[in-house]
Amino acid sequence: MGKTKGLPFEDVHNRCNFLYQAAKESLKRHKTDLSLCRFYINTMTVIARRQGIRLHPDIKRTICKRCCLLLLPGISAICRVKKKHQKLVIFTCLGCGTMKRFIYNKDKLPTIDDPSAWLDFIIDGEQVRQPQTPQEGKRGDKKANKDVKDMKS
Amino acid sequence: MELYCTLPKSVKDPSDQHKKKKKGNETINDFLTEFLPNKRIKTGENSLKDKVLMLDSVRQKWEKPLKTKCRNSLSAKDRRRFKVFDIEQGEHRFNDYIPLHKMWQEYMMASLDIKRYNLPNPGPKKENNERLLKADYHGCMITVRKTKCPSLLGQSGIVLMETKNTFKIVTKDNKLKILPKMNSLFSFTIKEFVFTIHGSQFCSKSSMRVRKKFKFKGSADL
Repeated sequence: MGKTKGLPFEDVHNRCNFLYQAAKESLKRHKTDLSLCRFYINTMTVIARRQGIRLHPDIKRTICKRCCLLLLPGISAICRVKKKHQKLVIFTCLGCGTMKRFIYNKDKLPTIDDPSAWLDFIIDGEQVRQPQTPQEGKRGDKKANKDVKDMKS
Repeated sequence: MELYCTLPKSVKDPSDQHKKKKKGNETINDFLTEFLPNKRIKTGENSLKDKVLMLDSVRQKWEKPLKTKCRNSLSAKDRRRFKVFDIEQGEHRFNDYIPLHKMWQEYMMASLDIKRYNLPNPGPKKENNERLLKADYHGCMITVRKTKCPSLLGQSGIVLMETKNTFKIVTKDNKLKILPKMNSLFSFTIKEFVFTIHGSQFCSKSSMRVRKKFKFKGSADL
């Protein structure tokens, strides 16, 4: 099993990683003054956009798109569950009031969350497990980009 | 918190002032005269009768943007309102940012590859320049070595925010200082190694620096 090459934009990934952690630390210290947190995450998104880097969806899900706040339930976001027509989780950002909806549908999970849709599984540059053959009729074509997972904070 | 213990005696005490049956408003007025600070009572008892005090925490009302305007991005007005850096002196304490500083040190050690300095064959030093340019300085303990402006000499603190032309730092006295980048030399230390930066080469937003390539510009002696 050979190691994959160092990723092309490794230093940029490290920087985004550091900024995300710094934003989380600053939020925990200052629960009222949110401008520092916004600044760090704004720079992180701008850097990723300039260099053409993809951020891991778990990171993107905790960022408010409008005001660039880190959404931590209880501190800077309100997390509610709805069950009427669809099963929903709604995050409302306490800074600007925008809402994020995550729909849960057993038959149609997004690829990142659905292990049966993954083709490949890479940890620390080495292939750890061979994928099970995906069931027929259930997204055999889509690829999951798992390289960024080991860069995640 | 014990849920099943008996009630305290003060609640059941019939001799307490508040327990006597009074008209609705009188009990509230008595309660307020007991517990409000003196200044507010001096303005006159009428103020207690007429004033309406909100005791619940009221959440800010969010203005919903119209459908024609972009909902997912901020207008310039909102951007200015949200990202303003509060220059309240009492808010930012030096001690709060020490863990940030430690995180930054680990990040720098990894990105600059400091382990190889101790090896007998350190790589070419030109590599450092590019990495220093592209690195992030939030949380760095910076001191000013040389400047044209004598009042800025010797200032040191942890970098909180980096803008196009300045560094905003917190000093040990919990004061916020703004250091302009032009025409000054900064230095910081990691373990035993000291790095110096020419501020005039760094005059750009931190997010724009990632793409910039290092050009050797001559700089005036300070």
